[in-house]
Amino acid sequence: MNGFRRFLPRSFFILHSSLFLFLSACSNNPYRPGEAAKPVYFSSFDEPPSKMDPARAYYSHEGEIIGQIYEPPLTYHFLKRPYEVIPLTAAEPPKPTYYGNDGKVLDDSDPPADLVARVEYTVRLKRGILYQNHPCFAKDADGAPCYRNVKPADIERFEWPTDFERQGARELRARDYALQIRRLADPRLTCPIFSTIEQYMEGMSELQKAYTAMLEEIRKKRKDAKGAAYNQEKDEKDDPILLDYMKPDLPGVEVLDDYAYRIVLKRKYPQILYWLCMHFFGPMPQEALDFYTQPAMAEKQFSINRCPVGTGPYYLKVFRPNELIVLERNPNYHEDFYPTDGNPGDAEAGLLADAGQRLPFIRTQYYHSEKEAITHWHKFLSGYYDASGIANDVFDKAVNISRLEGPQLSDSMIAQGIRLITDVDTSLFYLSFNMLDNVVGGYDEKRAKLRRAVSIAMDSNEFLNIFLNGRGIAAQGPIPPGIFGYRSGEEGTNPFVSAWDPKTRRHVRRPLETARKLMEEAGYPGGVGPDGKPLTLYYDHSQGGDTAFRAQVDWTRKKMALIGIRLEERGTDLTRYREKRQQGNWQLGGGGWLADYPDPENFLFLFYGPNREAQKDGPNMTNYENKEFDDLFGKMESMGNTLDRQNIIDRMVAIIQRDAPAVWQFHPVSFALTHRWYRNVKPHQMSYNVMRYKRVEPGLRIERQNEWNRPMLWPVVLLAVILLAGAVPAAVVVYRKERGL
Amino acid sequence: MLAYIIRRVAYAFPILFGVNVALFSLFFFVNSPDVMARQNLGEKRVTPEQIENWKREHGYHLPRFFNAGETGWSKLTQTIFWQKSMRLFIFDFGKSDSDNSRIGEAVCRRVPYSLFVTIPIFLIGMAIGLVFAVLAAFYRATYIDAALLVVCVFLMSIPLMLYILAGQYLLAIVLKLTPISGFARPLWIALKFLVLPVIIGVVAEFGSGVRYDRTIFLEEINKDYVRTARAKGLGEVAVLFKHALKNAMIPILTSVVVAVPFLMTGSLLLEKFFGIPGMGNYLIDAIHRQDFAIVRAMVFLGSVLYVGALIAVDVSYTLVDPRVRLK
Repeated sequence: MNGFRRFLPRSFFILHSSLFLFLSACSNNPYRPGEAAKPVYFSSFDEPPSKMDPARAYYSHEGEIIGQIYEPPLTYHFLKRPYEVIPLTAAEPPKPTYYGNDGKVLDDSDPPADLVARVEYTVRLKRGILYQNHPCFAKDADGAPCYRNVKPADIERFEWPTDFERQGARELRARDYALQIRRLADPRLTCPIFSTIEQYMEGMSELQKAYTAMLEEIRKKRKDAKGAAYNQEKDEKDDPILLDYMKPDLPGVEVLDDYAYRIVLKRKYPQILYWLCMHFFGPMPQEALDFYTQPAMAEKQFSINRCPVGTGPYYLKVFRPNELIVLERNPNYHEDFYPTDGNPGDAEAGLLADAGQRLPFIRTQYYHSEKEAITHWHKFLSGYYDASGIANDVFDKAVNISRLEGPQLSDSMIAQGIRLITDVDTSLFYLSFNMLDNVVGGYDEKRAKLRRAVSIAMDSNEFLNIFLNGRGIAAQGPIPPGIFGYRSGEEGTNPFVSAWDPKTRRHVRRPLETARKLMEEAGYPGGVGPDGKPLTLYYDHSQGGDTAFRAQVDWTRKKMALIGIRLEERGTDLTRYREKRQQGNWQLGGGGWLADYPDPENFLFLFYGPNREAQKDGPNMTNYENKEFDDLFGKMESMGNTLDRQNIIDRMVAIIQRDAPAVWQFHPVSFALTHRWYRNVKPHQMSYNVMRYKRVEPGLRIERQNEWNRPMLWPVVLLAVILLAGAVPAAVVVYRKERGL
Repeated sequence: MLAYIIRRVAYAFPILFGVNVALFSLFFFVNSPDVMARQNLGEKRVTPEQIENWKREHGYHLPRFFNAGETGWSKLTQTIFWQKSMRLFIFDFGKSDSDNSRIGEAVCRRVPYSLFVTIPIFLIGMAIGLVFAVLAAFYRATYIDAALLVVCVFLMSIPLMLYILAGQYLLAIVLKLTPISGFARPLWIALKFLVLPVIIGVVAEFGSGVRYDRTIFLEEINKDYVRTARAKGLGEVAVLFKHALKNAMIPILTSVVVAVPFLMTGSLLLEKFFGIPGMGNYLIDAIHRQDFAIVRAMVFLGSVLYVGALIAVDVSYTLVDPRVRLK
């Protein structure tokens, strides 16, 4: 029992000390002390970027990182709407030179597309733009690269390229852009925009064939050398293949000198300027490819896909995709200034307070891994994140939707000084009819009436209220707000499906009676077909496991039932669903499109006949084909944003509103919340390179964080006292039992 | 004993081969390489050429089991089964389908993070469980024992998810004592992030741990040697801690040794909710991204760990119980 007696006071001491230490270190602050007092930005990511090679990255969470590192020649104005293309590394936006079939320059500055046989764009670069510091540019006294033929042991201690002792930089050259455009054709990179670019750019298809042949030759040699033990994946993992990208001819891109290159297109395609705003057309230094394709670098997993090298305002300092991403201000960043003009209202909103100042403002950006929306939300409310979206679960706590005044922040948000920023997304969600289907497809008036009846029954406003907290506007056609060609208000009404309500100033669906009458005219009075059986439609999808989607299908079923249609699901796996789509063997299906660039062509091509999905693998999911629409598309596609173009678009929209190959559902509205210390926030749907304009006030942030996050210690002390008090009688019982008392 | 271990390891190979074949069938017959290519290339504008290129670059262009176009051993080795599945046996997990990163290295990097969470939960939970089980045995058939049992059953009935949400709400949001989620390096900074998941893990495991250990203790304290010890005049504390505890450790060890390898695979829910970059998070991310190369490797690794754990249990018996001999 002596041991037991000694044990008790010791354990009490240890318990008290631990409790004291724990309580003194208690705080819910996830950052190191003093970190938030610097001009840094805190945010999060739920899915880490898996592709940071500018030829491969496609999704927004990838673009948000590399868009700040790679600089294409052009970009979009930060404040002006509609979106305006401005130079970034180019001296000015390139102007097209059109050539006719006879090879001569056409005098017309905007000739008809059918007269154009070739177009040239000459991009002239600003001088003196430097890359970020990087070991790939480091050179020894003789001018030779420091890090060539390195051994694994030489770089074993480095965790990231910034750890290398020797760093260097060099000036941006036109050849870097030409190299990157060539890389888009590398079959290993499966560039997501290659199929589009090869349609327009001279020689891209041939270039890909040449690269494929070069790769096959190298692989065959390696395979012959290794015999049965050859494993392509392992072989190239250990010893990546460095292709000589510049070796094959590419008439589509020509380097004129160190500061100019020319892009040659096969036909008129003014949208190329929008592509030149994307990271796909950013620069790629040959030194980086030489550096990363060394076996020792591959061993350390240093690759262009993980460790980008660019000229942008930030460079990637830390990349732990499972934990933390840090972007640091690039000390070599070229001269770049905050815009001095914007849209009406921008100055009043304080968005021009920093006009003319040197960019970027924020020194470091921290992105922490955050898998759960709820933890992100609470960190935002605690002031540990500077901005946040609003998850459905917490929407009612953050925002009140007023019929007259629109979305308003809740009182608790206002008390915290939080601001609400909304913007209509340049995207479209729709329910597709398969125009090849015997029941819902076809182009006669009866089938069109059936589709219109379904369109009326599917009340988008109700859908938005139920599933998206009202965060969206009912779509009237394929073009979303913010894109040239969109008609707002009454003149944008789809007359077959909606009416304009001047009181609420929004579109409302026509009465169900209209839909029932259309059903009757379509040959389905009360939903009963000529065979006396109720009309049954089939919703094909591959999202059976998604509970939110299932709720939406249930809602769709109820809406269809209102006009007598029975809706049945045909859920299947993705493989089978894809096969059905490719064969055109489906009836109803969900569709959506997010703008690649701010041009109506990027939405209207979803209904262009030659783009149909069945058999042709195009983006036209509905398989809609209408000669008049297709002819108008051919004209509209290559026109500038003129009144003529608007008229053509109006006609095209009227045609598909009449034919109704889809139920136009909604354009989402994004809601963002920001703290008062986070400034210069204006939503930008097209560019990822906007963090350089943002600014934080660290003093205010620290003050608020301290105010909102004072730890509450007394419940822990109370709990400890209760536990100890409870342990005393137990100890007494043990003591008495041992002593036989 | 060495011969026994070698024999058991040899027996493990057919089991693992079976697991491998089952895995391969599941991933490559149910889910064709074309679908994998589509899933990895995204939804927009995926052309047949891109699918072919993707398959070619990831080694999925080969036949599944037999390559008639090759000669000699290459007929077998130049197949998806050989190149993707057989090399798992040498722990070469290959590259991720989605980002080309090396799976083996990711596993090595992430295992310590999982261990940062699972080892404290395991050790603290085991220690607390044993203490309370001994107490329950000490106060057996009293109100204290009954109350403890009720508490244990109550705690066992609550899903881990609720513990996590309640713990985050109470400790991080209301009391503001710990960060709600996150992780940082080095370890001494990470400690503040580990407090909450460890507390939750220990509380969540408390009920089942105490009940299991209590059953074993009660079984032990009714045995003859305990009666003899009491008859010799030993106090109850000495009987429980010196004699019963040692013998109760044999069945407890079985459950402990089986659990040890799985400490490496981490806790899916805890890691996901607290943003701990361990193995559980890795697997969830891979499932979310439909990265079957990682999922395949994780399932195989799990089966290897399980088989290894069973062998370790058998071996551990001989260490704690002199009556057990392996032949």
